[in-house]
Amino acid sequence: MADFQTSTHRAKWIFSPQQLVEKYRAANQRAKQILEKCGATLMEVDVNGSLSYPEPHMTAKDSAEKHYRTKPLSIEEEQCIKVFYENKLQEVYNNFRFPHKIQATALIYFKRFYLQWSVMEHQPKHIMLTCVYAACKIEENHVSAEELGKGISQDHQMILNNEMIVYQSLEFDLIVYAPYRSVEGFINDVEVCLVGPDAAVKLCLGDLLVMGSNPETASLHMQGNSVMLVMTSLKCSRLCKRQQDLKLIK
Amino acid sequence: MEKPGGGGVLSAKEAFEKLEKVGEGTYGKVYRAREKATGKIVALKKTRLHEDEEGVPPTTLREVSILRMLSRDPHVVRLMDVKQGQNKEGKTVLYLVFEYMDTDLKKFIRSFRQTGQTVPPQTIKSLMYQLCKGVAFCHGHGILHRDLKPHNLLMDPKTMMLKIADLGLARAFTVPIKKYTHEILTLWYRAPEVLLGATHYSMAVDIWSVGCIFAELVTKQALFPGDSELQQLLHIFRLLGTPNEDVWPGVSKLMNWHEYPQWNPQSLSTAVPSLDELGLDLLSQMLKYEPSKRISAKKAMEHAYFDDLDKRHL
Repeated sequence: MADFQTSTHRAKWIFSPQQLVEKYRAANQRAKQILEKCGATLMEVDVNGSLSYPEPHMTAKDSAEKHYRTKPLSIEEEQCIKVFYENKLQEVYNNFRFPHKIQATALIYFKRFYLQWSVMEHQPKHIMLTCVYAACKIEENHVSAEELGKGISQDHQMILNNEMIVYQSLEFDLIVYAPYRSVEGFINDVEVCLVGPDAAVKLCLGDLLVMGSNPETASLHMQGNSVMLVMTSLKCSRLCKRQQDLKLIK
Repeated sequence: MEKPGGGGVLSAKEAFEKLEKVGEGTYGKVYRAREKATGKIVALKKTRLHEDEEGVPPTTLREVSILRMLSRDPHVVRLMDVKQGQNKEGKTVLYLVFEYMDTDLKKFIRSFRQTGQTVPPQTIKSLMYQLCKGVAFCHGHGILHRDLKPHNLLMDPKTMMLKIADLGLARAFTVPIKKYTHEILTLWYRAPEVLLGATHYSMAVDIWSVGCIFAELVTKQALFPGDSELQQLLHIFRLLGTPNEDVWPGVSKLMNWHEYPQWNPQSLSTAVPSLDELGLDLLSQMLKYEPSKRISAKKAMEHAYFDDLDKRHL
């Protein structure tokens, strides 16, 4: 297996909870300042991938009406939006029946992107789709931008326009690690042991990847296998609890 | 690379002065250029985007992401930066900024062939050790190169430093090794399992290429210069003997296996007469038919052939 210990993933993309808070705060703060200055935060991404903030347009009238302006999002609200789109990413993945690796990679790209930017600066829907497209390329499961766009009724040009900014924000560190395969095997074993093959309880790998114990940060401040261990043990403890409840009912 | 909230990041045109075109790759041209800020000479590898309305080519992405992991090794070419720019038609292009190397192993071998000189044995040994070291580093990080050939091995003729380049076909491998395309690798350096249609393969394909390069350094001629997949196989079979289930279990089940002419194996010394006994032993271990029996790059570095080499600066 490609060596996690010496990878850019381990060297550059694992943070302490404190570092993560600082990064989220910095991105949020920057977006708020742009909102103050320009009255809008959404960045324009040109066809060639170049970026521009909205033009400042602060007239006296604007200043007077400042309190009627769009209110910026708080860090907590941003996190909620991110989690929403992380779950949306799962829907895209299910629609296209991509391998788990695509989902895991796209998700890590999405999380990393929003370490650098605020959701007020780049539309999460667009970034989420671009992350899926990038993950397909890097994991050698290539789907055309047009096909991806059609499959979810979106303009594929938007995916292509955002591609470079995603790569640049990820600093081109595109080889990522997610222990989806070993966990899948483990989950199968757990299901059989705990509830038998015909049981209604199903552990969803997607849930594990997206939610975990701390949905926003798990894959950014823990090594992949630790994340999975924590998540799986949580799920298993819930399953065991459910098993006991079922026995009590019987 | 562009940073959030960052102001002016210099485009390739602003940051570099192109000096001359030095080559052409699958996706664009390679230039020798000078970095304006430092005066440093670099290689700019230009990649066209939106060529087929699919953004950044996957080969470029793979090369960049792999080099981000491997560029710390002295035997892998260093990727210094990735810049964006526009060509004359206003189309977006991507420039990979590499350290500049004066020549490559193909040109190096050609220069000896043209002057009728032989490459000194200690030079061969040093270059082979560096190649094995670079390949071992790639494999240790889970990266298969898949296109090792003299043209992709850059060199500094003054220091005799060798670096692996052009990772456009490289990929990170996973366990278990899944089906990979067999439409890869320049024919002359292509391993027999790939030629015979195996889609499950691993590090051994790179070792076969290293063996072919080793022989070429000694003789200044390609070891197996086939001009089609069939001819390539026949070249290999003539020297190493036609494989069978005894020497290579499972060979007859490979997709492209047919009834081939039967040849007996020749001694490698007939093809590489000037190579010493230890060199021939190492070469034979690199050119084993059964991929799992082929020597690893790490083990090759420990081979007795390299015992008398001063490895301190390599």
